[in-house]
Amino acid sequence: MTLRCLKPAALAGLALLAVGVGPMRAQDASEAIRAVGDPIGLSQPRAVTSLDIDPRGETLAASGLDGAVRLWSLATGAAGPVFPIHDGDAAAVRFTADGRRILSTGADGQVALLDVGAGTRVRTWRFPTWCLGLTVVDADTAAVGCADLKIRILNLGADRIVREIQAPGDLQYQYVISLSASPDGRLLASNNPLTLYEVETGEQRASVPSFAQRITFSPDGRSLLGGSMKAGASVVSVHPLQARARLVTDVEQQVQTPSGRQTVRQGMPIYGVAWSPDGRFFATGGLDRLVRIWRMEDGAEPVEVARLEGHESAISALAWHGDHLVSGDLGGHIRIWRLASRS
Amino acid sequence: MGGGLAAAARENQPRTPVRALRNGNCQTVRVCDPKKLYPARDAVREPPMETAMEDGRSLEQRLKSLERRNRLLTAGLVATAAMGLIAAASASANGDRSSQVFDKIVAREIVVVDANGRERVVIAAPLPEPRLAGALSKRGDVLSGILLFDGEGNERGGYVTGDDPSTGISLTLDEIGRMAVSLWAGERGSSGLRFGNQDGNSVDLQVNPAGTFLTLREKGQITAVLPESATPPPPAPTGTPQ
Repeated sequence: MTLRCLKPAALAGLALLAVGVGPMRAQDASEAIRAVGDPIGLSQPRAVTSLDIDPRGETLAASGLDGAVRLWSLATGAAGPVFPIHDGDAAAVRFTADGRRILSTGADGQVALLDVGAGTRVRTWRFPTWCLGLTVVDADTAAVGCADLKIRILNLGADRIVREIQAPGDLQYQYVISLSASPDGRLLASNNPLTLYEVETGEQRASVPSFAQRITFSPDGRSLLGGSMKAGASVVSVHPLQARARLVTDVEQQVQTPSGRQTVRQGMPIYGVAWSPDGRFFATGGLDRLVRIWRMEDGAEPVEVARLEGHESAISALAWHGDHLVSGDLGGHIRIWRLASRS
Repeated sequence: MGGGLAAAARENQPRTPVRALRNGNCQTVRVCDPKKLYPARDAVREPPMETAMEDGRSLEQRLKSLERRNRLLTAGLVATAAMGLIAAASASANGDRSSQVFDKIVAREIVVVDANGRERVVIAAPLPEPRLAGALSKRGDVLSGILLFDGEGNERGGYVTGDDPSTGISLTLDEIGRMAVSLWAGERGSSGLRFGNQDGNSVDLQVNPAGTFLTLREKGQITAVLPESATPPPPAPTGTPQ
């Protein structure tokens, strides 16, 4: 594991490191982040499609292309139960608000609700097409986004679909791949194009053209973070729905030209995004196999403050809870990083 | 015990036609009485009752002998079947790669997986939906052909055609998540070669009934067209992977 802090000023301040293990603390504007020790390495047979951490920060859940959902101890990496749920990909996994149950979606059109403690399936919803997007709205409600451009709001206490929302787009080419619910449970966001809906009514609030592989609300509900399949990531303000900042994730490449070799910058797609619990940082990961940590700046572009290296495949999923950041890749490897802030 | 049965059988060996002829049982082979030439099979294998009694063996002894033979045969059959099952299971567990030659294989989909079980080649009609960063995506058009995947499951190229002849046929080389090179042919009179990247830089070579064209684009804007007087050629036929 290596970590590179990109700000020279922060590098100069290494001697003054104030390592704080535990939840991130409010610090000054030059606050950065570093990883403490080596990450815990985990693996599963096939690509990681989604990661989530239970609200108490004890258990990590991962879904994979082998159709299973796996649990691990977040603190130690000790393996927990494996739930072979889906026929085909398991596309997304989320803990319910109480942390006692897990929801998973798959390429088989199933949405499964599992009781973690009992290891049993509580409920299954079956849809006529694959569903990739999944978010937990509140204690009793979740939403799934499917290939038929429908967002289905589910009552977790019954086999009932509370509401169906038609997402905009061309059914032939577009689909709902990512969903995120605002922290207050009032808004839903779907990608491709980025669209906001009222959960209560299903009414579409706003929409802007964009294609983000993954989107997620900030903890304060004022921003959305989206990783782009083309290059980089974006921070979008929610009120009103408009681009706030674009994150450049370019890497330098040497190319041969008629006039000789040139160094060019090449944008890298971002597949995974996650906010720190306090909303002052966020992480991105993608094709360049780097976990990049960014610091939000009031009135300015986010600043990249750290890079976590070590993945050998493209990073496909991220989850952040307390001082633990978890990254998963397309090779089926997962790393649990322990972070500390410094200024 | 067994020797007694064998001896009895030898005594009742069928006579060959030649031997029968020598014995004068018939004039020619054709008119011979088959019953005289070939004693009944029962007579061959089962000695007459008197013979067995004369052999000093009771019915009970014969029955015991038959039972023992039956047990031996049953045990042998079970052992043979078990060995066959073990051999089949072993071949399966070891990923038996022994070549088998089929005159013809008819299938909608053939998937080649690597040592890690990852799909690397798919031949299918229609082709499955593509993946972006491990997640299912939509191909949009119904295509059939061959797809190649890298070790992370990214589609990296294909040789495909659509159901509708106007869709054309394409040989494509893909970057992760997008096509980089396409060699294509339309239904009639049009074909082309295109190189492009995510920044909108591209080179198009195209032949169509109106002539031949070279078009260069940088960041999506046309920077050169040959012949200079030409307008940029139309895009590839609908459905051709772009």
